Amino acid sequence: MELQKFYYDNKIVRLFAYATILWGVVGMLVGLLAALQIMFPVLNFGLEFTTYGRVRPLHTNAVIFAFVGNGIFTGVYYSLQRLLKARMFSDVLSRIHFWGWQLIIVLAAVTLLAGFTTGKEYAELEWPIDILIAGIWVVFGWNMMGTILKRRVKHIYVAIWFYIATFVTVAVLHIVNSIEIPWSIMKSYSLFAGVQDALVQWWYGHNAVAFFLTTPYLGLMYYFVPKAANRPVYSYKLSIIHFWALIFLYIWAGPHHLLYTSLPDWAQALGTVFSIMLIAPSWGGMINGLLTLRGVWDKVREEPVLKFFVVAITAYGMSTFEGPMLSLKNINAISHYTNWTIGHVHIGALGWNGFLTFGMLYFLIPKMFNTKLHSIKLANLHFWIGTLGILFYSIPMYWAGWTEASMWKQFNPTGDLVYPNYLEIVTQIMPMHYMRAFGGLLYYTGLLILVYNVVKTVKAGSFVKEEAAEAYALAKEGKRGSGEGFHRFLERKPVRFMIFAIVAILIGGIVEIIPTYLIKSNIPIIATVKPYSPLELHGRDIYIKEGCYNCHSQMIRPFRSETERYGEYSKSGEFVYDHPFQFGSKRTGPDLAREGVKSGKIYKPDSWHYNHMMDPQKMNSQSIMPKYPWLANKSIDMGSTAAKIRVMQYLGVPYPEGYDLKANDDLKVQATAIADGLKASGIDVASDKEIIALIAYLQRLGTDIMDSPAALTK
Amino acid sequence: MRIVTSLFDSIHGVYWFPVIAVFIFLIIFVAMTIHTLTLNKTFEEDAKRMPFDADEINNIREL
Repeated sequence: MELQKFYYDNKIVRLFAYATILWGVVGMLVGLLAALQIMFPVLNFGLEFTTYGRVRPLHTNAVIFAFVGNGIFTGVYYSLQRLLKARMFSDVLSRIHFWGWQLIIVLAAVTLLAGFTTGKEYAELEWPIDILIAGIWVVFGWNMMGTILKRRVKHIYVAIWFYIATFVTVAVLHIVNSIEIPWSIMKSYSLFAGVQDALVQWWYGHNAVAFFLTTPYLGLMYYFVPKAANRPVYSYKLSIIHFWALIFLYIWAGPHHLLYTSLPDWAQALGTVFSIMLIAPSWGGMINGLLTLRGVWDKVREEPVLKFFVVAITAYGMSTFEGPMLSLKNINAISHYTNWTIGHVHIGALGWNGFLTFGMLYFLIPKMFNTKLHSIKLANLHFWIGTLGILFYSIPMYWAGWTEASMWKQFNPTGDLVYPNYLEIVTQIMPMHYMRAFGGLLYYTGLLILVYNVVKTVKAGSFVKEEAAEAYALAKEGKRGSGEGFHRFLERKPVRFMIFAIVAILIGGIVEIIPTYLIKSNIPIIATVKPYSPLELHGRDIYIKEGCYNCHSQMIRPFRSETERYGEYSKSGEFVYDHPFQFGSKRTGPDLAREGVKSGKIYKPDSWHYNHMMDPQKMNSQSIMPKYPWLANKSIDMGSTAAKIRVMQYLGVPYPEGYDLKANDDLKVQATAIADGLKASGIDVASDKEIIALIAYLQRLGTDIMDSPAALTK
Repeated sequence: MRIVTSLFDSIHGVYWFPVIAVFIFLIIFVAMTIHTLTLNKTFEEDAKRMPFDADEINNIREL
């Protein structure tokens, strides 16, 4: 057999590593700003581009897709070449992937701050960028599969199984959840509506956690932990079982984000059951990671890389135990919409993703620069500051979540809510926000220490652009040999392996989504629910543009504490024209599902909404809501009304034939009535301003069934 | 096609889809577990050492 000499491409690894650090610094700084904005509304700066509703999606997108995304690619490009004893399939594809991904990040940052958003969490980017993401993701997969196919190693290692599963599943999730019909060059409406949109979105949302934040990182764990510990992985058998069980079960868990909402009960139950089942494969991975270190715990004391890995894997174990617990309906009834979820998410993000990334960078940068890490002491300092940061972040968030839930649900002996004023609850948890921001600052300081340490290491070393390696050419092997186990056979047949992985992940999605979409009785029709008026439609788009869903839900759960506070609980039939749905996932402010019900518990007149949007602190000094003064200056984009109506008609919203051409007439009539009403209250604002449309939308919320008692009883 | 369409006409019986899926999963899971328990020991040891280069293999810390 011929011994072949070749070179690993370290340049692409270095590019992704630098991008990981850069976007980590940017994304976490934006997160820190968002945390501070909750305490000090003045930090919204009175500018539309820097309000919390736009900054928060920028933070989540930056840390998930920019920091973690580049972290994944750093580790994949480094480990894949070495595990397969092959250079990447194509240097050109590697560069297209790198620069394309960075372009997506920059476009995401610009468009999110400019207010171009689909309004679907973690999938906020609009349709042109969605197409670009799909293209660049294919380039990544093409390059990866090409490398796998030209490998010099017979079997593909467990890390690569996870990379393959990541590639195919993210592609499926992204494409299905991004099906949208454009009505302008930068705006679109989701194909799905209401409850169906919510199910698709959280099928995507939860599996973004699963297949972007988990499976690729498990792959990295399987490569970097054995390498850093100089110990083989604890159990190969366990890795086979936990890989297949994990990818099959994870895909079902999405509906646990929608417990007690108007999603059909059977789908909610599925989400809960599969989430509980997920503990087993998740902990299989954690146990495999931690037990790889058995016998070398003395090295953990000395090596900062291993310290980071140990805390990362422990955080993974904690969050994958907590996740299923939060999926139990009785616990979810307390945790959902509160800061408990924020605490839970950040154990995973800061602990699992952050620390695994830091450990990986401390491991591979000295190797690529053929030197030692500049300072072990500084890396240890980073570790301890980061660990304290995670604790200071998460514990106050848990405390805040329990406090919020308790205050939301507390009744006095006469059966009234003890805290009917939502602001009392917001104010009560403010000290926890201060502590959370301190925790975030600590974690961020640790990151800056890493930057310094990496810069010094890079300067001291000499970069090995092309790392020489040699391996024997791979002999062609065809059919399964006698005595060769099925999985062993599969491990040398990557295309078949990929097909099996696709089948495993498709089953859950198909069983959950298709019946919800096709079975009409899932979503009972409510005759009184009508399409939004053109003005309300514009108002809804402004609501989405300003990211109101980041702080306000539109989903009243069937609990007495919620119906007492907000009004009648939400019905699935109320959302059939909501492209996209706006259930929300967090209540920094109160729910708005019945905001417009005149006889309701939370109704406010148009003038209140106007004054509140212009200066919330003037209405109540303790309010933490940003100001939106530009809404009184910017005009409604009436030129787009016809296109919006046509797309809605295409999506099945029953506007009359030819209504697209008459819609602006109705819009003007409704807008003038609102402007006249405001004038009577002493507020002089032109009827074509965005604030008028937003008020129209807010006053429409929840009214469809509440104005018709017959519909309610039905 | 009519059979498929009629399956999705009514919500009655929708619970059978996940039950069937889980049943298939459990059969595969049990078969896979048995299969992995009978894996060739030499292959398993080789597979565990895959992240290491030839010159590293001798230096791996084993228990």
